[in-house]
Amino acid sequence: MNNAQDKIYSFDLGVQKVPIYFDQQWITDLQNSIHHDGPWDSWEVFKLSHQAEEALQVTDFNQLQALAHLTKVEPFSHQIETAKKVLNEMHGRAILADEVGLGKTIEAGLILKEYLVRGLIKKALILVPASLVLQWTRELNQKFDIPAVAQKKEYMWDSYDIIVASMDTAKRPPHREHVMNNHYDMLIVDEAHKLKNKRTKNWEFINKIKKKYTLLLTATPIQNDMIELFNLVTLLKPGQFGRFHHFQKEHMQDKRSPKNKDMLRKEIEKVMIRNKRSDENIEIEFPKRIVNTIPLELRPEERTLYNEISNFVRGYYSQASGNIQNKLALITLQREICSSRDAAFITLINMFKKSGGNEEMKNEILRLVQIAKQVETQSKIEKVINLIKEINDKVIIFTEYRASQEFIMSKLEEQGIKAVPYRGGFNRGKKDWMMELFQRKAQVLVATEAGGEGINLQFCNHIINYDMPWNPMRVEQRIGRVHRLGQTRDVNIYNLSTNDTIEEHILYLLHEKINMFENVIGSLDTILEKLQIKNIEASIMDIMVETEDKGTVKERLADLGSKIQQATT
Amino acid sequence: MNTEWVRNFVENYLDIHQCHFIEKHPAYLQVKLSVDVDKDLTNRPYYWTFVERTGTEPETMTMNLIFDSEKAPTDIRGEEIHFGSRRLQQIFHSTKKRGRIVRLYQVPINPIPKYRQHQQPQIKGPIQTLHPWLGINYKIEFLSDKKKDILLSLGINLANGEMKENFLNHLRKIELTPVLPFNVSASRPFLSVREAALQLEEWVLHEINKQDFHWAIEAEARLQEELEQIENYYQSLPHEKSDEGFDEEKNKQDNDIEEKAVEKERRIEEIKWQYSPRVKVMPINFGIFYLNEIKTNNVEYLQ
Repeated sequence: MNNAQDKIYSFDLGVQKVPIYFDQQWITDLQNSIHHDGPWDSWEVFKLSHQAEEALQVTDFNQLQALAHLTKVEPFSHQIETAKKVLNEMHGRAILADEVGLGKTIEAGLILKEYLVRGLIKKALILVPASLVLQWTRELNQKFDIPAVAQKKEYMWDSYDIIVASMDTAKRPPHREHVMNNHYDMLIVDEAHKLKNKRTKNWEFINKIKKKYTLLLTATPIQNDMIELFNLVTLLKPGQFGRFHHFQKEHMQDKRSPKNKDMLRKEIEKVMIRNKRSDENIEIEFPKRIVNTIPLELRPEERTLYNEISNFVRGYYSQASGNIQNKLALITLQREICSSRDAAFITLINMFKKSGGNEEMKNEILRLVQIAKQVETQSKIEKVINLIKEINDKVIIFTEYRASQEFIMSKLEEQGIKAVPYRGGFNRGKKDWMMELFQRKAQVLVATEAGGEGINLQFCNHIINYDMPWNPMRVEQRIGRVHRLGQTRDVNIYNLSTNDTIEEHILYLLHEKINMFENVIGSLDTILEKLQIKNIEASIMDIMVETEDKGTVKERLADLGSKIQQATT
Repeated sequence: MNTEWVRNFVENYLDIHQCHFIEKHPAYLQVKLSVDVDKDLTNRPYYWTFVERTGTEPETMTMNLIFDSEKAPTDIRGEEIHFGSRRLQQIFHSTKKRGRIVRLYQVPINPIPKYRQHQQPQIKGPIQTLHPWLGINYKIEFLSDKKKDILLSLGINLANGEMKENFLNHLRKIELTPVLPFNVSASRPFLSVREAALQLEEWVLHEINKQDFHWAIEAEARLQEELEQIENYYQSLPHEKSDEGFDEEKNKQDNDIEEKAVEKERRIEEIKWQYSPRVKVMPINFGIFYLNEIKTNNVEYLQ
């Protein structure tokens, strides 16, 4: 912290003494220069150097200095307020728990920049999920001019000051040792709700890192679970909420519910900031989500195929009770037939190859293949082509399956509609290239992947869900690509609902029960985890298989829907 | 710091370091760097080692520095430079390195004109005596979890111990040269650098004492409060080794207790690191200045 050569005086305040360190190195340097008659620097540069220091001078303890240093990002007022509060009231240790889409990354970047500008930080560590490492690195560099690097090699821990790394890498040897041996002026942890359990390796790891300032970022409304909150706060400021049993007695009625809400809120506000979209000071106007449900009738050949495949799936699903592999294949088949004939076709072929000596199944599959071949036109693609022509603007079509993607691409080409594909398997360069083509040359992007980092599609405001993922998380990811900071127009979502198929039910669950499309739901993964729904696809499938009549299916899906909804509020 | 400030600063920097301007446009500069600037800004130490080892003719880089991207012609490709940008930080760093120690002489008021110096070097005018001053620009940092700086410019006459504030401002008003001017003599210092440094430290301490120290009292209070919290928290965990229990269980408990004790120490260290109020005094730059007598009214200069 200070040079060994510093001379130390102190300022006496009565109850305390404040040390004053005087750098002494300059005396020797000047004596040397006099003795050797140089080297002497230029007077012009001397003045310039002082001018630079004047510009960099931190003139005030409390006002944000970083804003003068930023030109590529203009923080919103709630983000500036948050940074000020962390600096002045929380003294650099805080939980940032804004709702999704309010820009927690910007807040964290702003706070980091502020401390850097003040010279209070040299070394910083930013731990994020592996999939976000590059995005974080890019944002810190591009928006904040913070020289952050993505940790790739072991030597980097000690040779770079500002490092973005994945927690899973950092906590494992040989990296762990390096992290433990360093002192970090600031530690930032994204997705910090993963630290809610004190008995996990993650928690222990973060607890052991030597750190001065700490920011924990989470979008999950952790204040709903007292113990989780307590554990997070203990990482920041042990003892802030008192001792654990004391905390239990004072604040908790049971595991989930707080006792004295007002008092607890005051305590929480000392360490946590949670901006909500509904807050008055939020200037961001999020565009609306306009949901269009487009009903669709299957043609007779398609109907036959759909029914036959559904019966096949239902029949084998209950038989395959123990065999997860088969079960998954059957679920996939059922979902695929809702997407396109082509998607289901491939799975049928694969099942045929794997069915081994099961002659009955083989025959069954061959029969289904024959039926599939009868289908010539697919009503869904016709509807979509009409829709695209009607929209007459950029459109993203999402599908879960590559076979459907290729089918859609070829049909659009037939119609002379310019389209580009987008897949998770593309490398970074190809992804960027496809984005560029879509923005400049094509009308349609046909994507199989909604997740992944760094896809900015704000220039487009029409989404067609060609098929419906059964997992609400994936639906939100799809919409989130377009409905995010920077989108200025209302977002149109088109859902294709094929009458009297599973998809109709799924849409009912997502749209009418969870209200998925209009509402932004934070961290559904955590919600599902909380409900102990390990595999929502399987849960839905069970309902489908176990229930014969349409009414009951609806009822049970409605039930699942209300459970999810309760957990989000 | 606005665009104009940044542009002036950068242009000044490049100019002082003998860079060659290819184009000066209101919104951008196209400049071929000098060797010194290239070394400081382009981050290619291997190239420069190569040049120096092999004696190759160096080829410095050309840069387009854009200060106002809105007003720059669209076909100009280059890097935007603004307050807070990496490039400007580099330039600041470069000035810091290259503008640290100086020795300068005040140019006499009525010097013998240059052409006459050359022609008739033996001409004798009145010899002027210059006094050696030690000038220093300080940066004083007040630190806790927050920070504030003040800058202080001081000078001390090494011949008689006289001291001046706002020393740099005074220096800016006069003409200075790095070589001893003709017909000028310099009086010998009476104080050593180390002795002068002591006097300067006294002055700085006095300056620090005038500051409001509420920030330090508050920081100390936060520190104490959090130390107390930590004490309470760890008190509530088992913290004394017991003699009871079976061996294995007892070992585990003892380990836990030890681990918690280590953790507590670490916390205390962290919190002191975060909050402890302290003041740091560092020179920005400094030097020896040979000056005419400094008078508050410059009557004699006007004669």
